[in-house]
Amino acid sequence: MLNKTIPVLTAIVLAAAMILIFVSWIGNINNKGEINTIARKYMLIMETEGYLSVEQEQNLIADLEAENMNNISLSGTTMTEVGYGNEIVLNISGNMKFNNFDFISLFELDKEIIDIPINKPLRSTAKY
Amino acid sequence: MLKKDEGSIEHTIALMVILIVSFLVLHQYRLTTINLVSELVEDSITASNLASAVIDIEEFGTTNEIKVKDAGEAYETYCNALKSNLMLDDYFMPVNNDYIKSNVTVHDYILYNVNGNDIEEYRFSNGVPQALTTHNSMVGVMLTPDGKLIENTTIYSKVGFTIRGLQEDEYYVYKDESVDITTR
Repeated sequence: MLNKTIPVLTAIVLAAAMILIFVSWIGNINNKGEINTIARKYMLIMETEGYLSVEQEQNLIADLEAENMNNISLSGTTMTEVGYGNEIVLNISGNMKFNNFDFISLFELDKEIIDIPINKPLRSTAKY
Repeated sequence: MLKKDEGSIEHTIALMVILIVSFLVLHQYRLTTINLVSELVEDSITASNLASAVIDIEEFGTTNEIKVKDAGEAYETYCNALKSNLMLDDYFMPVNNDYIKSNVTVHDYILYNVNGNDIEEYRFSNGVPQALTTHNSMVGVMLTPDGKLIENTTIYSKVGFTIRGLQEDEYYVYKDESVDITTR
């Protein structure tokens, strides 16, 4: 009886491991999507203010850190006020922590956290 | 006397379970990634439309009419913003993108300047400026190609590119968005 159930149980365990890895992949993709949403939100603020203020810079960094980003740099971002119709740039770069799973053996998964570089530039014009 | 061997359907079941789950996982992963690319492109087009929506401040100050001053300049601003927002090089080819497999083509960029009850249409088709068309008394009547009613000065754009599909095949897809400029 045990000989008959072992293959099925093994398949179920492997399937569960694959689903676990898949859920972690989807989490990584959703985090990356959130970065786009955050960048869009702050670009709209910059359009109405003409630049990224110190207060908004801090809020932006806090929002990015909440999405597992680190080593955040906003180099190249428009930090001084520009006039109506002038170009404004938001440049987000940094690393994002992604969960990565590897099969060590049939029943052993190794989870490691890896840093993936993220680069998100956005360009628009001041509208205030 | 010959004896028939016992069957072993459990091995087949095990293999089927693994194959089905693998297929579903990979399929769903690819679908989620394609949806993300779709959202990214949509956001980028909207942001680029907004970037080009620079109105004539003097005109607004004197007549209270919202109009984009220079269609050519607006189109150039749109293209520069699109290149930056979608991380494209100077030839509109994607840099570091696994899913957009060709250059991004701006098939249509249309500026609808509202002038009283009339609409002045400035169109760029595949980068080529077309003759100005005036639609008399069409404010609140005419629609953009993506179905939005034109009541204020509006910018519409449509881009096309090749995307990698679910089965490693490739498809040419279009994305279009319009934004209007209001004081409200």
